[in-house]
Amino acid sequence: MSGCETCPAYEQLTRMGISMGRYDRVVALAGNPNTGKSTLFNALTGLRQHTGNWPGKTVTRAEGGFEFRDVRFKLVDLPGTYSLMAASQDEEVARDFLLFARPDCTVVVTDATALERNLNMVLQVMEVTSRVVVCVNLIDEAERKGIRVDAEALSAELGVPVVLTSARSGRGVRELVETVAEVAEGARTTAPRLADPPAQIAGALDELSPMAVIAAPDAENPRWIAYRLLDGDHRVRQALGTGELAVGEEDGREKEAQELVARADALRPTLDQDFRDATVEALYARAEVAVAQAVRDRGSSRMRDLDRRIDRIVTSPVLGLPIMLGLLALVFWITVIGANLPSQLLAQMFFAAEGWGASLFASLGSPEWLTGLLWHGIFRGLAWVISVMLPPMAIFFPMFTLLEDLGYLPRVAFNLDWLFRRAGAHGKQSLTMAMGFGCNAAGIISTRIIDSPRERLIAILTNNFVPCNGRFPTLIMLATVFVAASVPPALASFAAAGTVVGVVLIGVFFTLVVSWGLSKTVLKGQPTAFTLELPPYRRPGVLRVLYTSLIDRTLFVLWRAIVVAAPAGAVIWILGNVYAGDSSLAQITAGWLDPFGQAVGLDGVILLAYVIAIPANEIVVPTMLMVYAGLGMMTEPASYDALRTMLVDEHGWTLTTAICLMLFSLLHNPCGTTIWTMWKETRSRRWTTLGALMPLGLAFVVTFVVANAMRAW
Amino acid sequence: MSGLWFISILFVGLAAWFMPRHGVAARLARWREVRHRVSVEDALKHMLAARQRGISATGESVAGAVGIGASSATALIEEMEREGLLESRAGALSLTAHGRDYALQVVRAHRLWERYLDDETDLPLTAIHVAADRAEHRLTVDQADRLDAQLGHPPTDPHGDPIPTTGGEIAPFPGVPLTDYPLGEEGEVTHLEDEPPGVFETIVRVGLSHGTRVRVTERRPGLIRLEVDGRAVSLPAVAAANVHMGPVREPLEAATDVIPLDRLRRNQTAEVVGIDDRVRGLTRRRLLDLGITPGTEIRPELEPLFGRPRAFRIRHTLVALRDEQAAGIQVRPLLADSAPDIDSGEREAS
Repeated sequence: MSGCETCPAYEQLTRMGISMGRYDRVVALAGNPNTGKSTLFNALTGLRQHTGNWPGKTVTRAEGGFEFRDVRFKLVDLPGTYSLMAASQDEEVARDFLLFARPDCTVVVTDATALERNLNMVLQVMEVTSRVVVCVNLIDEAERKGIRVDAEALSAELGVPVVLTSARSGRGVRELVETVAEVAEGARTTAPRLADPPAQIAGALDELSPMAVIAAPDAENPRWIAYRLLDGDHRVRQALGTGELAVGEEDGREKEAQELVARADALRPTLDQDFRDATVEALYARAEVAVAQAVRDRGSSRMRDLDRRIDRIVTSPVLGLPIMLGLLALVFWITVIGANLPSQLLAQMFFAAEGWGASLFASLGSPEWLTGLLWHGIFRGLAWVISVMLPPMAIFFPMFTLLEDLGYLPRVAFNLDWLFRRAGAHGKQSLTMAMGFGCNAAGIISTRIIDSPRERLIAILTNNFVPCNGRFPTLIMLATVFVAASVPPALASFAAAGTVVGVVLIGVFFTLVVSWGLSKTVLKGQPTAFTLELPPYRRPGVLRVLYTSLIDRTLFVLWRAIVVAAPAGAVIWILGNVYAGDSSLAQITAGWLDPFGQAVGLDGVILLAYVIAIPANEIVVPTMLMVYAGLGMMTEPASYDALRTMLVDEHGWTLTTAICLMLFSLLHNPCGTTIWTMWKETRSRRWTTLGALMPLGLAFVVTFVVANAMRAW
Repeated sequence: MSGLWFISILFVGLAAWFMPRHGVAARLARWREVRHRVSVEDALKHMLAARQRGISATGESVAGAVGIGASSATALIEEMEREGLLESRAGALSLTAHGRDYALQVVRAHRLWERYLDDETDLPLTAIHVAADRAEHRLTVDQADRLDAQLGHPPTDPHGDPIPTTGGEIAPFPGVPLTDYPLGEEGEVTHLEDEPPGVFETIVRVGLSHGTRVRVTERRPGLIRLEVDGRAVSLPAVAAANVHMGPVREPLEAATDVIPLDRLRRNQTAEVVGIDDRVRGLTRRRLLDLGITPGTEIRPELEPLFGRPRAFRIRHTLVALRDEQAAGIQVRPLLADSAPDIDSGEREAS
């Protein structure tokens, strides 16, 4: 039978979306951010893992499994947090899991180079559950920095097993698994030595703890429950009422729970108001004692000096900016060069498949409209999106993740925070913007790194002003056909590149201005706080980088794009192939939209292309060309010269059209995938609507002003 | 043809008007309902405040507080009487037990929301009051309970007003009115009455806020002279009656060698003395989580391109703090020579 149906917390696990399948035991992985927790997770599970979100939360969850001595362990990676006080969504998720899902063992991953700070988290976890194993990770790095950790002494201090590991090299991982198995199977008992509660609340806790034992007989953490009631924790209060903390009881002990809560409410006003600070101080005091017993630090070392020296270079007034821009340019250059060939190959492959599929259908006697709709509509739309989108993303995201893993990206946020602070935003927004160059939807997901609610919303709502790789081809085409063509050939490619950079800078300008505007108006009443840790530089785990950036970012975004692009392909085919009189539906609609288009320096066809290409920006240009050429399917220009002839000579495009189109492309509403992602991340119809309509309105206003100014001039 | 157009436009129009939940008619009805509830709740709040000051509310004062005409006020009062929220005897209005409970719920929602905004956002005090005036009518009892727990059951709002408990208990204003505070003795503001807005603005304009230190220098009929942060100001007695005072509590920066962290020099090590009471909510939690507790060594170690924010070494980690955050952390600089200077180290190396 499946091992865990009889586990006490089986029902809770199911509610949290954890399916126990054929697993016997649950192990949770907790710890501070930047402790190498994900590397350890990979070392333990290999490729037997999958990622998703916690139910109803925008917090990433990774789950995997491993087997040891015929026992199958399910490993759940909790979000990296500094504490369990439930002050943020991440902390709430971690707290809820430890409290309600009752893992058989919890591994707290700590950074050996900053053990004092990390033990704060260990001590908090030990308050909730006693089945804890402390994993002192990054031990190799610590040793290079002259820090020695005595595992036995630390274990004696904490009362739980301590294992030294270096997850990247695999050192200590085997021992960790053995220890986890022993604790989870009950072969090894733990006796956590907790921090003494501060004097202000010791009396209150002594009074409440026995009551908590009665109200929640099965709970192993009465003192923690008592503290959380004093501190103010709605979830714990609620759980006492519903009996979630009294697992195994026939009915919750409602009366006792009510008495406990009432007593806590009565005691609270009698306490010193600073008891929360005092509690954290007590945790740190305990951590200091443990570190003093178990850690020997030589103070300085060449490794640490190296870290500092790198920091001083990448943040220096002279070199800081060039290094940042240089790296960004390098990443772009590699992406563009590297994606070129795979994109072409993919396109050729797909279009061959399209022809082959269509003729197969025709030979089987399928009606022409069905063949067209399926192959020249839906399939062609998908093929276009995949071949334009996949290669750059598959190159851009791993490089970006590499810089992230290395520890360079937090320094970028640090360098630019000054600028973003003035716009009411967070320095980390620079990183989410950079991610937006790859894909705005991915950029919006990456705003999870900003833990201040107001700044995160700002980053979500303005990400669209960074042109994503679906929009770059449009910008490059326009820059080449219109700007580069008007300068001497020798300067042509510089002019084109300069124009694209200019457009990007305009995007950055709008990002900052709109961020400022939002923070001063609709978002001014949103909670705000700032934290930015600068972790030590670390050699990135290349395999992990490839895995997370390919699976988590690239494929995830691609899948969403495919889901929205397929119907768009169908709509485009129908518009291009259904005729009313002499013109196709597309041409009729374009004619109807024309006056609006002309007002903002564009024309009806361009607007139509933008309307039907809402699901994916990649297909704007092909759709436009389809309508101009009067064809029935999306199409690509034979050459830039042919394109120029078609646009300028046949359809009356001018420099104004090109400039307005570049601006419109930069500012207009986000694509369908991005809007969907906005909704997923904010869970708010209000913010999603604002995020979709505000850029659209701005695009119309700006292009209208520019078009009229240029015509007048 | 035009007949067809007419019918379809008519149909769409009717649908838009009478649609069950989103139609104009339904929205209008809901809006009226909400506006009515807001009037009732504002009237209740006004009567509770009157009762606390020992005066009785009248139809006229209700009209003024709710912002409606005399006849509407009469109708409102009659209806509230029917609903058992108040009693009227010879023109004087008083709350029933039910009305008092309801009023306390509204006050509780208002003060909790103010506490929340002051703890978590950077809105100024006057804006907070306006926002809470709207939120108090929206928040359900359950939501208020949740918020209360999330904020750690705060005893008072940012003006120093006690927040009623779920059971509806409310403590009296802490301290003595400024009009009665002993001459020449330094005290601290414990409470600012935020109604009416005009008077509140006068109070805020002379520089008074919760915790400000004040000395009464002269008391004249209708006017009080004060010393606020070393400046001499005068306040009309009407406004002064809305300020409550208590004895000075010893603050952190009393010791002369203690400075805010943002003024600590580069590469100078200091010891954390404490975090200001003004720093609250998520920001305070984060600072504590990062290990900024009394006695911790802290040292500005890195400055970015544009000079700010600085990064500090705290318990072997490097954490960037903006100036406004650093200003809320009090530190005591340690002897300068105890900190090795990185600049000289680098010169040696190169």
